[in-house]
Amino acid sequence: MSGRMRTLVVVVVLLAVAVLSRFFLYSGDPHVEVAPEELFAIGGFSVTNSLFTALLVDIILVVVALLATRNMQLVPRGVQNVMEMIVEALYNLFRNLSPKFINQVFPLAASIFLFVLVSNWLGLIPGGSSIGVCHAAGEEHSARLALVREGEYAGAIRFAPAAAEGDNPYTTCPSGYTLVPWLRPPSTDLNFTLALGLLSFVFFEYWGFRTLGIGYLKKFFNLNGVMSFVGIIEFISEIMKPISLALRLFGNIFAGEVLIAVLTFLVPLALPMPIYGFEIFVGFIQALVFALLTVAFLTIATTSHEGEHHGDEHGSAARAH
Amino acid sequence: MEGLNLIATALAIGLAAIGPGIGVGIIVAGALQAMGRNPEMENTLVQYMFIGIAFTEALAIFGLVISFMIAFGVIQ
Repeated sequence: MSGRMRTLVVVVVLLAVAVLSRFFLYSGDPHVEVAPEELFAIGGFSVTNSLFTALLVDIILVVVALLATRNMQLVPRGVQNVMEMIVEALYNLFRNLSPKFINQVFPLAASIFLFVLVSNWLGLIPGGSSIGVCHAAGEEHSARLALVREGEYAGAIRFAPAAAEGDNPYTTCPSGYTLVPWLRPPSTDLNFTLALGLLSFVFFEYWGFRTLGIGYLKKFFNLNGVMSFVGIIEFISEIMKPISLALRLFGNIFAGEVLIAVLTFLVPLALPMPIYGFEIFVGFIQALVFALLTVAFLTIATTSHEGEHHGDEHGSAARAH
Repeated sequence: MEGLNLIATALAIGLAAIGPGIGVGIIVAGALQAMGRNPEMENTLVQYMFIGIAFTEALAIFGLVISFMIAFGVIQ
């Protein structure tokens, strides 16, 4: 059998399995909720699952950083080597975009990249959005982002040892309760992405003022003929920057979660796997894009609009290449 | 109202995907052409290509967010 035939047979068998699995495997209705769900409250301060996951990401990053720097050597090995590789690649990438301000922007942009990357990928761990606690289905607790559903077999996982007489053989929430997953990637929470966007906004506005002084405002407000109209457009697009940063990250990652949930509902086996791989790629690209845009906006904000600076910028760009 | 919400959801993302689809195609076509002409610049070009795609794609994402909001009843 030639290689092409074998590939064809594998694909056909996979498709057949995928179609048949629709009839034999039970997959719940996809249930999607835009807002994050409250896990518990500490003195009126509600801890949502996305906040919980954000703290988890923090812990992961801090532990990895501590492990990498615990026993530093001149010739790196193990974790230190990997982390140095990542940091160095990021440094070179950002330096291409903003050679002048690399020392100011690098800590923020690299932190954003690592945080968003880990939080995007955390949402793709199988079981992450289907293991949680049962909450009474009230108005506030009726929501989750998972392949679990209300009714008799919500979040159904077969649990063989407990199949005593009369017992429910599924580990599931009782009817009237819904399952709230422990883990939900912070990127699927608009509060988190907007906070990150505003942080980046404040950062590059600050450096714009610090480099150009009060002249930074000339870009937005001047009475110089047609430039006054351009200033208004610049102002609106400046206001839109944090919003578009926030919505881009939220929309991409949330859409990925919904896509996987809906596809798993339609075809439980085989077909979601390529989408899973694609979502890993999207999670990486979105983390990179958020960091790169922070650097790019900083470069835009710190570039004066007067003529002599253009030549200067071309010179530095030529040197960088 | 249920049917109208469904139509609005589909239209919001469907119409929002037209322009960015064309735009991303143009960006990638330009980047590939440039890479073919000057393969040494590939690393820089890929970087700028992704920034351009991100800007273009944001428009489609706005439509997607609006359609989510209609679909899940955040706005009626």
